[in-house]
Amino acid sequence: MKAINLAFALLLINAAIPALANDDSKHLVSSCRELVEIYVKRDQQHLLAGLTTSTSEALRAGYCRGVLDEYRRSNYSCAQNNWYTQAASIAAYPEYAEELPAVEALLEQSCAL
Amino acid sequence: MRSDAKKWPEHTTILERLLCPPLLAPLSQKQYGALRIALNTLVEALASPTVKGRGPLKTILPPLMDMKRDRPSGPGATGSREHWYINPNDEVLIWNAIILQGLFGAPKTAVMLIREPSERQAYVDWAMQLFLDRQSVAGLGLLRQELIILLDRLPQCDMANEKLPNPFADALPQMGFGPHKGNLLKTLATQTAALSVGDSMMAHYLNGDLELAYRQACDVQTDNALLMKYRDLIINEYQEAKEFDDLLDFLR
Repeated sequence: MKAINLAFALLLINAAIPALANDDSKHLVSSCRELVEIYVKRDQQHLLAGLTTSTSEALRAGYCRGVLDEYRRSNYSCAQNNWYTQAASIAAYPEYAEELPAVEALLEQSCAL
Repeated sequence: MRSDAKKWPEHTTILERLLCPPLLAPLSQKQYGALRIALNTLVEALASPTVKGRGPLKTILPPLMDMKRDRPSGPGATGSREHWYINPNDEVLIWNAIILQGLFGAPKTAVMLIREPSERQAYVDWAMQLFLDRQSVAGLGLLRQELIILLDRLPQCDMANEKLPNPFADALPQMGFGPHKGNLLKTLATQTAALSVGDSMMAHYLNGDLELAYRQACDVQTDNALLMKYRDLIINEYQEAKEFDDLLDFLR
């Protein structure tokens, strides 16, 4: 019985690993989309961003910003020096795409000028 | 039907029968001072003739109810108060007068509404608007359902025989609340006026212009609890949104 359980658990973990990688990419894409949207609202009208952004949207946007900052800090090779342009290029990926590039690839591509 | 005037109860007995409970007997307790004065003025008004018109058109209407006054005489009676005896058949009339005085303030208005059914509709409309459309009935300590029934019945009510429902939860306005000592009318007017101070603030707020609402809110000086709540809410909301804007700019 234990052996079957173990096998079943291994199967689950196995199945979960690629899904998890894709989830990370999705998470980054949606977070960066949130970040871009918040700044669009900020530039559209005074106070609008504060009034129409939920706390979870704000947290997601902050996550994107944090990931970008951290990537630029550890990758001197990033040619793009505007984090907003980077965020916008990541946000341009379709969030529900079957195959998103891995997080690392997303970040690398966003550095292109 | 006239009952034997010698057996009429004192007016305080009748008032206690009508008002206790919910109030506590005896009404002579200190806490009911304002109420006693208001009710005595009302009883006095009901038992006095009404003068209508001026000059040659002047007519004197008989009192709405009978009242026998008796001041004890003899040695030691100097300075003792006058006793008022009231026909128990007038109990319903007194009750209705108390309710009307509570709602509309002046005993004069209560007497006028009892005398002139044609005047009642205007007051009903006014009360509907103030109590039910513009104000929170609960905030004034009124029972909504009873108030609706009362306003519904008032225009055609036979004041001597039909008891109006009591819209006051557990206290009478005559007991004196707020700065206007039991005049619900003035209290309401003040509240409405206070709200109008905040009208432009609320208008901007409800239009979604938080910036303008905030600027108005900073100028609003009020004791009105409801208005204060909105003012603080608007200021808070503005400051939060402003803070977010500033943070976004800082992170650019």
